[in-house]
Amino acid sequence: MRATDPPFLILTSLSSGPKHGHALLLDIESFAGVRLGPGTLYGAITRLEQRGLIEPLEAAERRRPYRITAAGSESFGIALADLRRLVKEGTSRLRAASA
Amino acid sequence: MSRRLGRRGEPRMSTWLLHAYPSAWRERYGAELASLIEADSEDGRVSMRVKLDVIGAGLTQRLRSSGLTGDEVPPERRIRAGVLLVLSAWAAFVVVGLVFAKTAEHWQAVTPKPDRGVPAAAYDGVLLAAELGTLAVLLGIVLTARPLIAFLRAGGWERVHLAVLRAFGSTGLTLAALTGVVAWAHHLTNAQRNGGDGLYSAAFLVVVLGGVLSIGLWTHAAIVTARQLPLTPGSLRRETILAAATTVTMAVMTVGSTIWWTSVHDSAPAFFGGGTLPVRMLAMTLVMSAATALAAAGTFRSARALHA
Repeated sequence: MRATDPPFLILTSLSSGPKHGHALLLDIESFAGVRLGPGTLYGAITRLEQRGLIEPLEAAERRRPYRITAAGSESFGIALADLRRLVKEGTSRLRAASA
Repeated sequence: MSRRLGRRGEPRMSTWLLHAYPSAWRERYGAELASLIEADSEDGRVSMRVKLDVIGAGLTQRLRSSGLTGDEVPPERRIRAGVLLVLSAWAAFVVVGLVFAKTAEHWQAVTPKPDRGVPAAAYDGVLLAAELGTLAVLLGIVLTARPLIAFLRAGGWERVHLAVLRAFGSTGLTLAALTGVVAWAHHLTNAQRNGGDGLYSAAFLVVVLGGVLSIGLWTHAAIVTARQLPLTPGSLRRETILAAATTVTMAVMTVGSTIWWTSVHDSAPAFFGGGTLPVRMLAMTLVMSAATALAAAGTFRSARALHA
């Protein structure tokens, strides 16, 4: 999972609580500066739900909120740890090169 | 899902866009996505960016749901998807093969005898590959006979009858039109039959398009049916082997037909109208290459899923 992948962005957004599609789009745009298309968003939601990383809640009219599952939190935590390692490695190499 | 209407009473764009997705997906997510598209559009107008995004995502979802991409569906469905992709590519080959057969008529008569060796070998290779490919496809159909009977006995006809009746209808209409065109042809001169009579040419074209449509509809009926047949792992393995054999024959036909028309063109360019490049033959080679590539992708997909 890469940091700019829609599933990663969705898991990041849902980490702070359940959200429906439109709230997800707005939240992702605010923290990542990326405006996902509705089709892209729901393609990622479908895959995340199939993998058991997120789950749907009761729909309000046609809007259905989603929340991150325990498996999703664990998987997201592992991805973040990988990312932290990469950031640390990249930063130290950059420092070594400029020193 | 209720049918949503726009301001002028026509179905909303959001509802229309959902048709890019498979029906099972629409049942589950359709209302949510339509609501999101409407919330995301300004003044009720859906931007081109959003339309392309939704259509692209819908087609991607269709590929995933059919088992042609991704790993969400079970290996058994991925094997079927790969084999059925080979069948679809074969259907395209049947159409192109008819064009090839018609074009190649009497080629020996215009090619100098010393130059006939290479095209004759290529032509014979194409015919042999076509026969072997047809045999592999027919064998694949025969292997599904018992599961097909079991499927029909279990009430499967209800689930496939529309696709089969559509194919029957198209074939019946095409045969009726063909009978009329053949009867008409008996009253025309050779020149009139070969482009001299515009109305006859148009009627002939309609028959050809009807034939292509019928092949397409029969292929669709076969796919709709085969997706639902109760096939054992052994049957799926055999179907994959036959699909691989069919793909090989398609590759041989693509190479053989290309060697044939390039060598005939070198010796007797007038046979293709005398131009520098025979456009019809180039188009035929392109379609054959694309179909072979699709068949290879289908075979690869099935073989990988077989070992998953």
